[in-house]
Amino acid sequence: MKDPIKATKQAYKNLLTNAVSYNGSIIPVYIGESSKADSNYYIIIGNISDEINPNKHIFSSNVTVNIELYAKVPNISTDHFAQVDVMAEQVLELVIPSISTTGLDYGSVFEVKAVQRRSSEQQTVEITEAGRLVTRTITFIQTINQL
Amino acid sequence: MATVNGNAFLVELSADSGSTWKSVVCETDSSASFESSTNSVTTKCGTFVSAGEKSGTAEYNGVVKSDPAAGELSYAEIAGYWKADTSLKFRAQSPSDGTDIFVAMDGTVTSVGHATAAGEFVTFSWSFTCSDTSTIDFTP
Repeated sequence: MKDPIKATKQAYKNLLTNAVSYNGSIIPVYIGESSKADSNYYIIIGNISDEINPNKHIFSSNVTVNIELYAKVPNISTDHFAQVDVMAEQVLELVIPSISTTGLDYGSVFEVKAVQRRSSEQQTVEITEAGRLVTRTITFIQTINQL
Repeated sequence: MATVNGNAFLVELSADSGSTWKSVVCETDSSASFESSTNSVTTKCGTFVSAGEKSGTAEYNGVVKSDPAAGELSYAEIAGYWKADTSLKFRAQSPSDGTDIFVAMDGTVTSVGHATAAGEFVTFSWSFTCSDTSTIDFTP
């Protein structure tokens, strides 16, 4: 069988790359935490896990993925999360534009079914004199079947 | 010890007296049971027990496949068999010649239904009841 996690990472990378922006600048997308970037805004395709969807006829998996949105913002602000909120809206519109549709494309190896936003969470990662790093993590779950 | 993987033991139906068989898709689990009722008579010499009528049933749970292939059938066809009381042949075997395990019987679909939850596959379940116990067969 084919690897559903690898396919999921690639599907999100393809969808979000060059598609999310803030103040007119494209926000870079990375796979994995080690890529935490120099830029003020970035997206990380974080933890992914998959679970078998038991079936005798097809390879089916429920894949959970965390999309982490980061922004380095000044300490003096009325809303430290305004930037990640803007990014989150764009990501949600891209991944799930409407009920039962998705912007994800798994190519010819997998078909994607039932993409859902499982949860969303905002958090301050660190505070320094220079500013603070804030994040919004959106967790998506999708069922994918190997074709 | 030799065992049989459940993924290689699939339910098939034939609506044309066994000329063509189709796999029911997509199966998540299935079961079959065969029973005999018992007749017992209590006498002053002791209790005598004899085997009574036999019966056979099968249960199936699966995910609806909206585009079954030529050799497959899914919820729509099963529901059609139930509505028309179609006489069917039931078979499950592994491997394809049934040498490891084989079960067959004639009967009809006696219940069918589906379930749908938000964000999940539509699933369906159906039951098969043997209509002629002389057709129950465990030999390929």
